[in-house]
Amino acid sequence: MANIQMKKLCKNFGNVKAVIDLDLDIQDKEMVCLLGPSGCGKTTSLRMLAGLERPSSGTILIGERDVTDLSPRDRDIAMVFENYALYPQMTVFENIAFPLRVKKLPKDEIKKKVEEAAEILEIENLLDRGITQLSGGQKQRVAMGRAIVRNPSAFLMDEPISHLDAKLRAHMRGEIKRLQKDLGTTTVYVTHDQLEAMSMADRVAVMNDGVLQQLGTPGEIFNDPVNEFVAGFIGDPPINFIDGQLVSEGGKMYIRNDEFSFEIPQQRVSVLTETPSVVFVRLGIRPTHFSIHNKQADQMGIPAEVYISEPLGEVQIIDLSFRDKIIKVVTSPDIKTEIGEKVWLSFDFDKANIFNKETGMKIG
Amino acid sequence: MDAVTEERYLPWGLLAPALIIILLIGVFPLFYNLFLSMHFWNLTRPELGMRFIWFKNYTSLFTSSLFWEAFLRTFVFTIVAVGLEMCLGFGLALLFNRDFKGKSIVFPIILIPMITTPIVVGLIWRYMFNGEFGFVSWILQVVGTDVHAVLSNPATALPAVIFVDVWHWTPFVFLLSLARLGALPRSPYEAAEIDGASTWQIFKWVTFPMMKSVLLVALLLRTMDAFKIFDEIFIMTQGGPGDATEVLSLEIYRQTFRYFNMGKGSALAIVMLIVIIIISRIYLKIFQKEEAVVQQ
Repeated sequence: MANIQMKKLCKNFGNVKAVIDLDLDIQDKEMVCLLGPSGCGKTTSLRMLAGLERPSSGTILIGERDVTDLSPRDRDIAMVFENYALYPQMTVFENIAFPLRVKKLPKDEIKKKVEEAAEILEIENLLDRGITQLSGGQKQRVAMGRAIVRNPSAFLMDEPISHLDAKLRAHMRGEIKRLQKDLGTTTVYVTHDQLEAMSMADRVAVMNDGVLQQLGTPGEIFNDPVNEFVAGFIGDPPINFIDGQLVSEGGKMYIRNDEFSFEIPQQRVSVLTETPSVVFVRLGIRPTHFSIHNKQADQMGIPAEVYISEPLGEVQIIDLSFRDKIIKVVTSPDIKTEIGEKVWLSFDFDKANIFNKETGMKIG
Repeated sequence: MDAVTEERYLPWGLLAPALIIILLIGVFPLFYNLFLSMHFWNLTRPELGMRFIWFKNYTSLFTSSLFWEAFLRTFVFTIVAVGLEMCLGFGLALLFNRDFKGKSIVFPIILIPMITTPIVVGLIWRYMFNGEFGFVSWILQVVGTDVHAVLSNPATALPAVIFVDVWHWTPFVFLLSLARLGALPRSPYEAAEIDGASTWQIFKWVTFPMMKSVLLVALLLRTMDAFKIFDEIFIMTQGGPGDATEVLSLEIYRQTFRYFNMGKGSALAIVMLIVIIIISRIYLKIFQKEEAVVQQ
């Protein structure tokens, strides 16, 4: 077990900067998910941690030991690959036993440890099978078995369940999280699926264009995103962005545009006045934080038109057209609307985020 | 013609040209050969005609020490030549599977022997081994050995033709192995590195098992081919000196086209065919076993 530190880690492929100044401090026994879209540098970061890619600059410490220049075999880590990377000519038993065989452990000890790992993963009945006879889920378990059998100081997982079907993926999310908690092994988990990251991680590191955008608990990432990218990447349906202008009038502050004017609550005004130069802003409002009304109340509200409603059983998503954009609102399925119907939207200002329209950074 | 009849005969009509050609150039010669092998028929003694003699050609072969010597020589030639070709070809492929300076220049040069016809290969090496002006003989003189005319010496003639076969066909094993090595998935290697395996362990447990199937195919093709070796030896030594390089196919040639003993030559050819079938069956069994382990 060990903590992991990445300090000013960079990776360039020719002129392409894949990872830029990555600073990440992962605590012992913690599970951190590297989350981001394709090409954001998350897998490259993990591969540098594994020793499969050499950093262009920066330092990697595992358990206070500088491993930057060490080969993968000397890092005492285990990795689960996206395509499982099992040894095709070996049986399940031989695959799981591989890391122990290379250490030349006695045969009976190898057998005992492999059987223990197989029992944890409930694949005891598959031990004699060839790899090509396994389903995706079974292969994934074998790959996990190979990782846990050697009791490494850290697990590195590169989108290990992305090839499974939705139902199995949901099941494996829970399984992997429980396994990680039971074993207490520090884990770095790479995924592009925000649901996986939010549901499994102790902390989530959101990356984009090779740069770490935000590191925080799933709650922090969701409720208090540092910029528009994080706000837009997390959440399904995604957050709604509405442009406006900051206006100060009669000692009060408003967000206005041609269609609406909202008074900013007093407790947030002080934060906004710290950045007096910002005039154009973007409101970020989660679909669950809107309320729909069929008439305007107190000269407030955003006028919109019902585009379509998508009932999902427990909730419904109503798509509303506002200017040339669609605003997605999650409401109770009891609310009935018609296509083209004019409605008014209000929202909980305490939960809304205000971003600088120019820089995309959160200002309040 | 109604639709049912057409459906019944159309496939035969379409297949007929190919079938006729196969029958004429493949099946007919085989059965004619079998037919001849059970007859006495010597073209230099036309007055004796063609007589059916059951298996006498075979029994005379099996009781002849010349046959068994040629048979053993063919086996030695095949095992040593193919063994060396496999080791060198695979070894070179492992070497070429990584980048090094000058690779793009050396690579086509290595392939040259393979694309040269056996007759030309035989001629090249006949001159190279020539006792008076051959390059190899010159080298041997320079290093101070007694052997000058390699192909005229019974002790060195067989090693020399083995060497030429290895020179000729190592690139074939090399090319097959390199193609497979290049197509191997990268991830098991990365997994093995992370699992702590050394370079040797990775070769033994990851590379070699994944290469086994292609190596078996190369081994099968080369064994069948080496067992039938004719052109190069015919050009270089004609089976000599004495019978030092007399392999089975040269014995067939000698019986059929020197002594015009058609029956005996045919019997030899049938024996050779049976041996090749047995060898290929053994390889295929091993191959299927390997596949079964993967598919299990």
